[in-house]
Amino acid sequence: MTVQPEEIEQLYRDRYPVFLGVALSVVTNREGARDVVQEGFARALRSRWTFRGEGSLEAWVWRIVLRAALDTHRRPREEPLHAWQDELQPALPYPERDPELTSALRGLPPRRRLILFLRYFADLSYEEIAEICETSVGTVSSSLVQARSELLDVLTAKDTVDEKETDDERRV
Amino acid sequence: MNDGSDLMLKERFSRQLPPADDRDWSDVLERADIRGRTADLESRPSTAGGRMRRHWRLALGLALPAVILAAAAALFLASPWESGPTAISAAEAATILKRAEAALAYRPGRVEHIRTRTTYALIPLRKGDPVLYERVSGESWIETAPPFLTRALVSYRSHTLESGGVGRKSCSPYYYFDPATGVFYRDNRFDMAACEGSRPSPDAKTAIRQLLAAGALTSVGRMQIAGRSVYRFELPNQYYDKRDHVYMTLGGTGFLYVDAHDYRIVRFEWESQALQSARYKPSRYGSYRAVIDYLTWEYLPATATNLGLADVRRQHPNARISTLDKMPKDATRQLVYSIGLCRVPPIPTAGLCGVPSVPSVSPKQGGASAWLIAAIAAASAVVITAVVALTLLLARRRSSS
Repeated sequence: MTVQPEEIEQLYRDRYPVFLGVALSVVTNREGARDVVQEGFARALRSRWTFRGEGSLEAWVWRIVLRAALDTHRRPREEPLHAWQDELQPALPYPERDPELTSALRGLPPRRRLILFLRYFADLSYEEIAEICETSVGTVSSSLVQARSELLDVLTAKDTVDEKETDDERRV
Repeated sequence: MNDGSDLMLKERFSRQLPPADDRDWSDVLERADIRGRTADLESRPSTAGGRMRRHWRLALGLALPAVILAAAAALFLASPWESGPTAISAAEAATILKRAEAALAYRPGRVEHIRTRTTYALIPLRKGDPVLYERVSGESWIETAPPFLTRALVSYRSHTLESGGVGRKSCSPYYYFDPATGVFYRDNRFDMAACEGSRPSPDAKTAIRQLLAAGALTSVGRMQIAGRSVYRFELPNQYYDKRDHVYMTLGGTGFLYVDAHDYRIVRFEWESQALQSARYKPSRYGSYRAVIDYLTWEYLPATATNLGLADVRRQHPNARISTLDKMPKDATRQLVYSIGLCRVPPIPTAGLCGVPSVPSVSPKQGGASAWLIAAIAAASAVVITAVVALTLLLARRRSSS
């Protein structure tokens, strides 16, 4: 089964902001992120005959886009994506919009952070994330549980400190 | 864990969505196009089997056509430009060239307006896809009657360089405008007042028109570029017209694309086989490909507004004038030297000055494909000799028995 260019174009049109956002979280500047997304989709178009229809088209394109993002950091390699995931260090594209989440994310290992981005930013299913990261659904699930727990610990602790400070201010 | 926290995280991440105001699918198509046929073919899995183990005669019988096929495939891979278009007849090519020439007809007393986008890609020596190196946008206005005012805007990354002058750049003062300082920097190197404004600035159209008139273009065929039907013509490596001082040197293979419907020039591309600057990592990249897409190529009426667009001095009436050597050593100056005159090292990152004008291909720079062809040719010769020798040997044994 060869995917049609129109299907890839549709995905591009429908999901461009999400692809751009994740690319932006990796390469940090908009022009670079735009390049990554366009380069990823161009690669997908050129190699569409390799898509066998065994998984989701979107997951397949995500893998290509993430590889394109990695290529901006370093010399392209032919290793499987899972061997590189630690080199992708996603960070929130607009940290000023959510400083707490920004600092909470910094405490997570890169691979877990990537899974979080794919889940909550790109809104992908566990199966799709597993396919992109070339791992099992179970690993994705446990990574997400751990990541959420670590994030919530930091965010809740911050809220508690904030509340305490507000109480102290009231007392003063 | 999976309820409220999930929603909260989704909501917080959704605040990070960037505005998507630049989702241009045509850019993707163009990139897919520039990545080239070679990359596509090289990455396809081989379907050749390893079924040649049972008998040496069978093995040789199969090996020979396999080697010949492999040699043909290698030759095909080594000449990516030759494989795409469908052939057109010589008569058809002649008609198309005449129509293209008509579409390029010079229109005096107007303002010629050209918008281009140039993409540079580096082509790896061995395996891998071409790598996008730089993209440069250009826009120019050229008056097609004396004093031949000319103005150009060149942008790459976040830098834009505005420049212009009158008449031929090679014999008249030329001005570079620095928006940061609000100063015109006059280039005195070509200040020969005697020929100021005497001739129009040469543009790509002039060169192409002359190439067409001289019959220097060779037809290659018809093909598609980003969904557009075009004719492709091969350009000579070098062209020099002494009378009009039009000098073109590609240092490699060049092609011109003409729209199949209105015969306008839509693209000019060339691939050069030599990279000399260390910036290009010559151990990794053997050549580069440059593609100029002509987004607009029109003649505007010579109204005051349009003539103003061609007049760089009128665009900035209050700007001070200084000389080029006083220009601050910043990004704008880099751009001047990279895009304009290409004289002063170090080569800036715009990637234009490093482009060599004369091909100098050493065996190392020739790339993997040349070695591959040589190796396959040698292997083919050995196998063919062995087959002939064995056949003769078998024939002699049969005849003796």
